[in-house]
Amino acid sequence: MNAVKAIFIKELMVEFRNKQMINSYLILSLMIIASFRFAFSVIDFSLSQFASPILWISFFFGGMFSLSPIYKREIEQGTREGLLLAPISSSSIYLGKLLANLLIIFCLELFIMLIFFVFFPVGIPDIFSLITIVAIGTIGIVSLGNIISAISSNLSQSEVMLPVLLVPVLLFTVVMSSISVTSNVFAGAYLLDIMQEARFILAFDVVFIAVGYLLIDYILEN
Amino acid sequence: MREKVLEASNIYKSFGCLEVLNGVNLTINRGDRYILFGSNGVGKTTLVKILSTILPADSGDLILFGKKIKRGSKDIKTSIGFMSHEPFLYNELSAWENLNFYCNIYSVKDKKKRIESLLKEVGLYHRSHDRVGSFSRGMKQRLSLARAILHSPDIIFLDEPYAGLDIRAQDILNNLILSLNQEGKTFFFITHDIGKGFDIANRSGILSKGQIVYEVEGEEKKTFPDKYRDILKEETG
Amino acid sequence: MLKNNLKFAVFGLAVIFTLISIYLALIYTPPHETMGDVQRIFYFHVASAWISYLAFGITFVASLLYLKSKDYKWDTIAFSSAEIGIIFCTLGIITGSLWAKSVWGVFWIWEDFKLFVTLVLWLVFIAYLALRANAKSRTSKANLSAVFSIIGFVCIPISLGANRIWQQFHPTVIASSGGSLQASMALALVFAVLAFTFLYMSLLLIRVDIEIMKEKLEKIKQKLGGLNV
Repeated sequence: MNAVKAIFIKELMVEFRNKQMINSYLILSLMIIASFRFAFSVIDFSLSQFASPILWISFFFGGMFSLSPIYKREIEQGTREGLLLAPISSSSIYLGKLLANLLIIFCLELFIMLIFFVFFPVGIPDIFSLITIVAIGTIGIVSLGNIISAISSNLSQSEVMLPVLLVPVLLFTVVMSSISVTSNVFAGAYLLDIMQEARFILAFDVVFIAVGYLLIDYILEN
Repeated sequence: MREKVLEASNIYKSFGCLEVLNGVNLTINRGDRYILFGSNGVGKTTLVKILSTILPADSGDLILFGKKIKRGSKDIKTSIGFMSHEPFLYNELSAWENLNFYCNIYSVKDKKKRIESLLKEVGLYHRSHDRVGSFSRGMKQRLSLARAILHSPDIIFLDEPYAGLDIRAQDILNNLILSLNQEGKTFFFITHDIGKGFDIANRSGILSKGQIVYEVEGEEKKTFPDKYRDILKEETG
Repeated sequence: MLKNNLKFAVFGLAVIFTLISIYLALIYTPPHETMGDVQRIFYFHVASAWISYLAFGITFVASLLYLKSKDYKWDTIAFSSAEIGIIFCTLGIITGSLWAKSVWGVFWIWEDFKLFVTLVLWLVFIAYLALRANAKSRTSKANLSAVFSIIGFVCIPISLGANRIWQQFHPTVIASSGGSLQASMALALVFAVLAFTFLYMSLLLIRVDIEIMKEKLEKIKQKLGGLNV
């Protein structure tokens, strides 16, 4: 069986039973949405303007604080060396984990979006466009989050180091452009209108995945 | 002349400024049951990790089954098994699921049969579908042994294998080692405890101050415990 | 011996060029037609920013070379360059803000991609240094920071692209800084850049030396401490 597939299935099984990542992501994102709702209930504001930033901040912070178990868990449980011992490349480990986390995080985001529309009475935009752009942005968050999590799990104060390392490389690249494009969707744009920008962000994603795929070896060999 | 399965020459490893291994030379032949002794912290675990290709050495050559080991050598890993005091098991998965995962990444054929027979051999078949997190230490070590030999490796490295094992588990381990050895598998263990496992070995060595300073084979074994005590005395000065 | 001569020579050049560029920037060039004397900070602002990019470029190249060769000297160069680079980056941001205040009336605007990219670079420097401070061993420090500097380097042009995407939706007219450079101003700029380049090189040579000496000292300490660990 393909190593990537084996690791993909293993990651899903472990996470669904352990729920470490799922719990911390949900708690954090829901807290952020609730906080914004509360904060904005005291002033007058144009909801559709803030929808995109609020959504992406929830996704970004949720990701930032819940992605650390990806590699940390292997170190804590002592299974890291079991993977290094096996006749599989580090890149397969990276890809397997990436695909599993993408699936998990994307499902969580769909749930968060549902909650968001419940909390905020904003006009629902074209769902297909929204989901597409959220998916594209998420690929960026998870792929970079994956490699940075691998780095930070080898440092002391790893829980703190993950956000410190992730913010400069993620916020000003994928998150910023995703917020921008999503706000257009909330303003009524359709997929065709935002095609060019969406393609750009997808290109960023591909670069991040490639960088992670090539460099993971140097991180795991420690 | 027996076939050499492992040749390590001039292995050096430092961690930062701390020199742990200072030119280790070691040859292991097919069918050996080699035990390496050494005091705590002398570098035994580092050496066994380098020999089993988990950790790269700073310099020196390692040849396994006639092939030189380089960074990124993957294929040779199918011939290597490793059992440590860390079981390399996922607590959330059952015994069966753990072995199934390792079967997948080692591309083991006839998975179902293999897992079933191994679980029976280590006496865990009745707990196949229980989560490993609920196992005792002894049970985890037994499952870890099953994991280590799952893919029928030709050489098996053991790092303090007796740690945390009850008498029953120790017997299972020793019996398994002897029966696999008869099939032609080679064993290399490390331990600081000269009481356990010494009888089972056919060759022994002592790691001290970063090098293998003493080796015995066969009948010379009788002189070994005293020599070991002398070397330990020398270390502490 | 040769090394010391080189250090003195570069330091000497740095001092000379800095003095010349101070003279050129503050005295020789005429005041700007619209901004007046405040514009003079522009020479050192541009020089600081360019040197910070150069410094990170050196960190990136040294990281690549380290990953290929595993020779710690490349890691030392990468680190030293980052330490110096962040100083120039901070200077660049501060001088840029002062200049922005006089040109646009605000200390900061997100739309200006040069300020934006310099900020991202500054944050990447901080993250890189924080990573090194939290590493658990010499090898992991070198490996992990090398990988991170490559990721960071790749993100700089990407963040520029992201800024461009954002600008498409929210275009802002950025007031031009006015006119083309007169010959004397161009001269002052060139000298400022050269001065800062020599200053950077001089600091890099000294810093790398200090780091190498530190490691030698550590090794000696370990040897004297003995192997009874």
